[in-house]
Amino acid sequence: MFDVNLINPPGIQIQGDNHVISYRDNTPKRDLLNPSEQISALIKRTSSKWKWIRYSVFFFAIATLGIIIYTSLGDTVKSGSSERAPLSEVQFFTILNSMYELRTNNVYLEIAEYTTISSSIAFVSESQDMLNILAHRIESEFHHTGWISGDLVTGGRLLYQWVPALISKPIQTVYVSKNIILDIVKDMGLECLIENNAISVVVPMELIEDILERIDSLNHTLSISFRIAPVEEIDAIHQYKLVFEYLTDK
Amino acid sequence: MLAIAQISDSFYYLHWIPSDRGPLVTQFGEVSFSNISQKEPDYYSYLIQSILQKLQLELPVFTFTLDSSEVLFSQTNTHPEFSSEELVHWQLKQSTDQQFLDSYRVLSYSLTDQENILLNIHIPNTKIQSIDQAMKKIYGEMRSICVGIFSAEIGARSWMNAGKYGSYIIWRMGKYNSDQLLYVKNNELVAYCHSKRSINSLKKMTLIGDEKVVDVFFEDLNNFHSGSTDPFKSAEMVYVYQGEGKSTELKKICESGIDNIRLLNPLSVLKCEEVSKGNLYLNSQLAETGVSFRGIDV
Repeated sequence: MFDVNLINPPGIQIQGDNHVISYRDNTPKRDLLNPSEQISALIKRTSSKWKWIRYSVFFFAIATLGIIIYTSLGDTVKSGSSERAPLSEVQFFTILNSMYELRTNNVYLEIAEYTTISSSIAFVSESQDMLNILAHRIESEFHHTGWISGDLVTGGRLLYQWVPALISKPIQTVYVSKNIILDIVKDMGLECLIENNAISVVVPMELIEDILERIDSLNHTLSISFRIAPVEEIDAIHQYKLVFEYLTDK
Repeated sequence: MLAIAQISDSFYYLHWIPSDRGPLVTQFGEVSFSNISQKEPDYYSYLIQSILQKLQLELPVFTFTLDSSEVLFSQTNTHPEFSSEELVHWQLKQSTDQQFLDSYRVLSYSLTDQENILLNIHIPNTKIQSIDQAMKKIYGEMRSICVGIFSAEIGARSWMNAGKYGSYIIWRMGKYNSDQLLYVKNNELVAYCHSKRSINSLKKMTLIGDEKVVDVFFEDLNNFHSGSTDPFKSAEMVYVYQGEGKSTELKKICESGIDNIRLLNPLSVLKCEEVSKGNLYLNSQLAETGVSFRGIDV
């Protein structure tokens, strides 16, 4: 039967697993602390924190209300970091292309990854100023589309992520049809490499859009996932490796 | 044995001892520390020590039930061509980043062989570590850590011999018509659902497993709200209890006269030593202490 015991080691659980946390044998002597004194100290320590949390929640509620009113007045709902609708591969690429166009000197696309569950675009640069400029441009162009993570002060990486379906929602396994991708790539006269359950093709950025549009036009029911990364040297900004991962040979 | 079940910011505890007449409840109740953040590293230490001091207990063996909002759920459809381990690993790689993998551990449970579905439960590592630290501090033993409704299901099997039915449902009523359901058939879990009801609609927030059986349950529920007192068709028996929120609807449905609905509360079955059982609708949250009775026939 089905028994949940979160102490069990990660992985697939089988009946009979029953791990425990036990320190009983460590010492026979028990010296319990006085919890009331400690709790008082803890309340004192956290009271100022609670004050700020209350203020934050209040302002957040006001801001959320404002957004709801704003979006309900408009014809379309602006996409935002809290948006849960999944991006299509073509929508994702359109965003990627626009961000790519906003780049300044010495800023490079590090990687762009797309799945129906989460997608991300990362830029890198040795110049933090250049990354800041790009971040500001993207923010003003896309407003609150996506969200920025990464440490711009000490880092050198600007990351945008979309997590359209939080993991609490059921995740359907994504199967990529190898043959669909192969047909399209070969039809375009491109060389491709098949290894480690993935098809990779080296192409300029313009052709990536073409490939994705062709996939999209087939209206197949299978979702795809892919990643785009520069070929070897980071300076080779015109050639990108487009990799489709798949699980089955069918 | 001291069973502690977290429901939102409150912690329900039930202490029992074995006796020749079966488990004997010595004390039960509720504590909450609304002024303390649960993110405080020593939170669980204080919680457990407070309960021990309140009950004036010698160090018992513990079980703990986390509120289901503390964990995340996901589903994996397994495939005959691949090992389930490989598939879960691949899926996590696809859907999460390294930070998530470092922060959560995932336990996967097979629902039914026919459906090839795995229910994944993602637990923050910090929770387990905090509880581990709490045990370390008091030299205690934590026998099991379970999750909300799954603990209640273990309780239903132990207290009410639910396994004798070909199918049964565990129904956790929540605040603002938020429900959680577990559907069990032939002693195998078939579906887990978290839903939100309103007057005209039903939104399944999370559904893992067979959707059809869940739909039949909500048809039964609609019929009840339309005035029917016919037995529920969705399962042979429906066990119901209250999570957070008022127990008005719980009382209404339990006293409706529907044959196959039963209140799930350990106090309705277990013997108590010198303590009043109180209002069984108001303290039915104790259903989530069920993991403490794993493998015990009451």
